[in-house]
Amino acid sequence: MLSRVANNLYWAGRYIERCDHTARFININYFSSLDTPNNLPEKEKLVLESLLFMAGNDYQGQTNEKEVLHHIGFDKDNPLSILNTARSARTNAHGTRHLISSETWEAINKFYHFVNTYHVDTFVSTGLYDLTTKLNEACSTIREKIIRTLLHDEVWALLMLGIHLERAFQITRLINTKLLDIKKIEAQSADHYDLTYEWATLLRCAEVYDMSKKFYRSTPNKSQTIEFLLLNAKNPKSLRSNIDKVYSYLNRIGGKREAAPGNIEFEVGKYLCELQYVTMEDVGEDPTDFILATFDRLHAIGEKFEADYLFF
Amino acid sequence: MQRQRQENFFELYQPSDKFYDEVFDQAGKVKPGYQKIFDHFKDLGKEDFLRLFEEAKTSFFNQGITFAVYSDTEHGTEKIFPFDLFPRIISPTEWQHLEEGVLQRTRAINAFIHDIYHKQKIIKDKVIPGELIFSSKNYQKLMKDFSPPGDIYCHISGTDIIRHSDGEFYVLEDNLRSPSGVSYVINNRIALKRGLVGLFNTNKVESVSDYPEHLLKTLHSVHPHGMEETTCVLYTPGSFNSAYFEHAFLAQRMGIELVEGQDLFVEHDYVYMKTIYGKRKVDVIYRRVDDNFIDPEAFNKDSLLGVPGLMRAYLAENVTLVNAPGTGFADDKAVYTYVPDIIKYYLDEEPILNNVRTYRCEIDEDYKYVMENIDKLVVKPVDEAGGYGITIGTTLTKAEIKEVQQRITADRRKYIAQPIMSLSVHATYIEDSHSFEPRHVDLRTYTLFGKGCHHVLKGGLSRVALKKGNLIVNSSQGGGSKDTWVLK
Repeated sequence: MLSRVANNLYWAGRYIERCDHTARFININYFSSLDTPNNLPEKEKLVLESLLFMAGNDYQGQTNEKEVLHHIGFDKDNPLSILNTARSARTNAHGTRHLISSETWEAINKFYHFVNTYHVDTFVSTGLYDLTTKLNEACSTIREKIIRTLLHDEVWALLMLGIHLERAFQITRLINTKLLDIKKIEAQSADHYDLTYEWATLLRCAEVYDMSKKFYRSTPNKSQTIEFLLLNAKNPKSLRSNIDKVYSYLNRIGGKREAAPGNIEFEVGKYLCELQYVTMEDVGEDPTDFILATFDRLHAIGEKFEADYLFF
Repeated sequence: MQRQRQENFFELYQPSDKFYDEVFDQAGKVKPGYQKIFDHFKDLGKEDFLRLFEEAKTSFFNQGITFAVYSDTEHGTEKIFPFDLFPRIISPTEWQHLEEGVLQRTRAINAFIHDIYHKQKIIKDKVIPGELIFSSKNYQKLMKDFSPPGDIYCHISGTDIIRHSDGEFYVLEDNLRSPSGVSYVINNRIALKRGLVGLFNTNKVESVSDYPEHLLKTLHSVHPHGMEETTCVLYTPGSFNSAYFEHAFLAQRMGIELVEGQDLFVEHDYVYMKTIYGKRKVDVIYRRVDDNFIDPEAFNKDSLLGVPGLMRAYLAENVTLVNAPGTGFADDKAVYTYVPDIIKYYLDEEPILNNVRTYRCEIDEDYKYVMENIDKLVVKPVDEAGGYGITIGTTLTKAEIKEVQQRITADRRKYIAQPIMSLSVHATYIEDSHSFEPRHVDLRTYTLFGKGCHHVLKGGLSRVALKKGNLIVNSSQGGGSKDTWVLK
């Protein structure tokens, strides 16, 4: 496996997953906001800020809904727009098409063309639900093709590692964004405000609202929601589950390479062990510091992986 | 009703007495080989045909068999290469003749290249003038006295063939560097099989899908001496190259790595690729990069696509390049005119396939004829590919004729001229008129030549000039392609 091609596979996986999360976040958050129980004076502005924050950039001061949606969805100058993320996914996959199955390539190619030919005016007026829902379906199809039509070898493992590391990032971003939203809501609310709706929205952004209720048998609260998204071993979207996956795919890629101090296998193995023994007490009443530390850890893992495997 | 459909589809079809029509005879009757296909389209009806046509186009688009168009308003709008659903048919007898002919050419050309880089007997025997070879920019001095495995230089060659109004096949040119288009042959067939299932039940057609296996076998056959386990790679200029789809497609079908120059390096005259597990030795490189760009140490010093030291490794016999460097002088259009002599000289055989009568402007007598008859001739620069720089006499104004005359006089070595060959026509679906019309076609065949093995792809790329009356079929000039059936 060429280092350059491995890099393409890893980033194709990351961009596909990123696109999926951005699309779902916009969809869920936007539509949840339309009938949110909070009656804050600036609730529209809050939602737009939230969308921008999750989409990874400030673009501060914008309160025009169509402009914000255009910026997140189709702004050619925004490297993190859905269009550019889809293009990056496809460009990286293009460099690997001799290694991936025709089915996987076609799914990625169709996904890109779907976004690239989508009418921007439709998206910012009536097409938000249509585009984001179909994008989520397209990303599911791609992952399904990766799992079902590729040899489960290092090509597959690199794509899957990219997907799961990105998912760990995105779940952490989701929590971070929602914590910020809630701080703003609390600052604007005179009385005590019931946050159940916000936690439910967060869980739905991660596609685990139903399973969370099934697991806790209660309406979501802060502690359970954060625990479910960060530490739950059975939740496939949790940080812990995804680090577990990253570790197993690393072992597929590295073959018989053993974990040793300083290498990526060691770093991820150690982090996984730590996550297995973290409690909500460790996370704290205000999880912000824990979340920021998680970002640092995930960035370090990404950089170490690239240094160990992708740069020759 | 059926009759109505038939008339609609072919109502604009006007068989010509000037050209050989592949599908209809001079009385306008369908030729026997095409009857089943003709009946199939007749029964299909326009609506179904259009649906199949759109489905085929969508399939090409989704597979990414496209080229990008860049403009001020559109970023990378992608278009597919035009593809026609009406296949071109070649009978078993015709095919046998073509196959034997292209193999004969390949054998003779390989012997010729070997001779030129060794004893140069053909020059000493005055069959071909030395200056014609040595003045070619594609003659590589570095190759002098070097013998590649099996003495094979052209492992992969593409021969462009047309059928003239006399019904005979003629070779227009040999492509001995990196002939492209074979991926379209395979994908055209896939598209046609999906769209016109019934046709394959009534016609027994030779397969084209085994080409990648034969290609891999050819690559393995020329591995450097003493290398037990052969690692083959396909070397592409990169994903922005117009033929990248083909490079990726062939690498995938052969199950070999698709490398760029930046993935390779040379150490102690061996070539390695950079992998996630460290360096790995490479033995055979199917390169789709021109000679000039493969090694900045040996050729173009500014090449960013190249691998420094690649030629050193090659000349040390530690890696095989496919095709060999320095084959390009032999597909020069001026050398083409000598191919019949080359065949007789090395093989002591009569050429099986016809060459088109060619006038070499550097010869005084030919030059005189060309200058007086430009209006009846096709004038071609000897070293351009893709249909560039070609002028067709019948389309020129007086001023343009004068201009061509001046161009030739300024550099006589650079030009050859041929009578205007009447490329045969074939029924082709034209979107603008929603019906079948005659359009000119040629045929590119693909020949593989390895150590102890050879294979001619049974079919080839029938390129079709979609513009009415146009004789240039190259895709860069707006040409499309057809699936080509060799019947069993």
